[in-house]
Amino acid sequence: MSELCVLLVDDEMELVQAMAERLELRGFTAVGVRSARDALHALDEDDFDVVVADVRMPRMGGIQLARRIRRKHPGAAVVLLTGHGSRRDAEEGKKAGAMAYLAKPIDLADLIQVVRDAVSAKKRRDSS
Amino acid sequence: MTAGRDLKRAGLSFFGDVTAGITHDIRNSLAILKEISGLLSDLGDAAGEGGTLDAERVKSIAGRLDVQVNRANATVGLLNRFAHSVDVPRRRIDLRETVAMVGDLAKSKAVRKRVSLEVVLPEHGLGVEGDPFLLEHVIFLLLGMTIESAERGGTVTLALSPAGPGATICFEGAGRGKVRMEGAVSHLLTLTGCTAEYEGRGDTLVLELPGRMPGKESTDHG
Repeated sequence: MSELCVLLVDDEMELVQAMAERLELRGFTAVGVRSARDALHALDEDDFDVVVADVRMPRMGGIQLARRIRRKHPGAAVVLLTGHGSRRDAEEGKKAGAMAYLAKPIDLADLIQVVRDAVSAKKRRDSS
Repeated sequence: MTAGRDLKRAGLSFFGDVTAGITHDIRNSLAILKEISGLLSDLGDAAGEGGTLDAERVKSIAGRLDVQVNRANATVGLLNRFAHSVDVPRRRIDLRETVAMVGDLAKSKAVRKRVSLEVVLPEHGLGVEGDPFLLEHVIFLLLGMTIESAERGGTVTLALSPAGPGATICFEGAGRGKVRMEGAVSHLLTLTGCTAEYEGRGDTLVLELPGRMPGKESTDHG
């Protein structure tokens, strides 16, 4: 049985592809897309446990995407990634509904832990 | 605050803006390199545990690493060229290099604003004499203003052409009318001896550069 189902969103497609390949080697189902719009399409088509999205993307960034996910796909937990690691982004991300926040470059083990924690925390929050 | 202090602050702000954008790009490259090298390591671990190592896949991953190293190298090279523009307060400026570099520096700004940025350079070399940093600063600010005012999904063109002993740089694609030349822009125009005016309905901003910018050996830009 597959581990969690993860949707990776970053305009850096090479990053998304490498992360997806590594997660799949660890038993996750991972799908990578290069924009927030593509992510929303993917969420309309399939169920994902968690969405890992970059904060800074053209057109729609990760924080705006997190808000849209909270409204349209409340079942998915959101983890945000950033190249800057600013506290303001972290606070805005939290307000937008993100469960966690990681600064690039990330450690895959950290990402996996954060993904699992985010999904568990979301389940707890939704059931309370 | 005096005009000189304002300009010093604006110069630092320009340097900071560029550095923040480039470090973001470098971080992205490092993040990708880390993931790809991690993938290589994962495949090695899997092979060590009795799996097979697909030589073609390893070769393809090495190629992906190479692409990212070249990309990061180009980004660092851009920062290095920009950092050296404060080395001397006055020199012969290769305008094709300068305009191309400012275009590269503003690329992420354009991406964030959903605007395509095109740089059009003349076939032959074109030079003026002056302070390279001040000139880069004024071009960057005018380009930023044009990008900010462009229609979403539109194209901004930065076009360099010779004009008498100097040159003309056109910023085409401003979609939301004219912006007043004030503050640091106005001060930089005076210091560089350049003029900037909108053409037509305000969708093109034209910067006229003299062959020799005013000023002697030192210009205080912090």
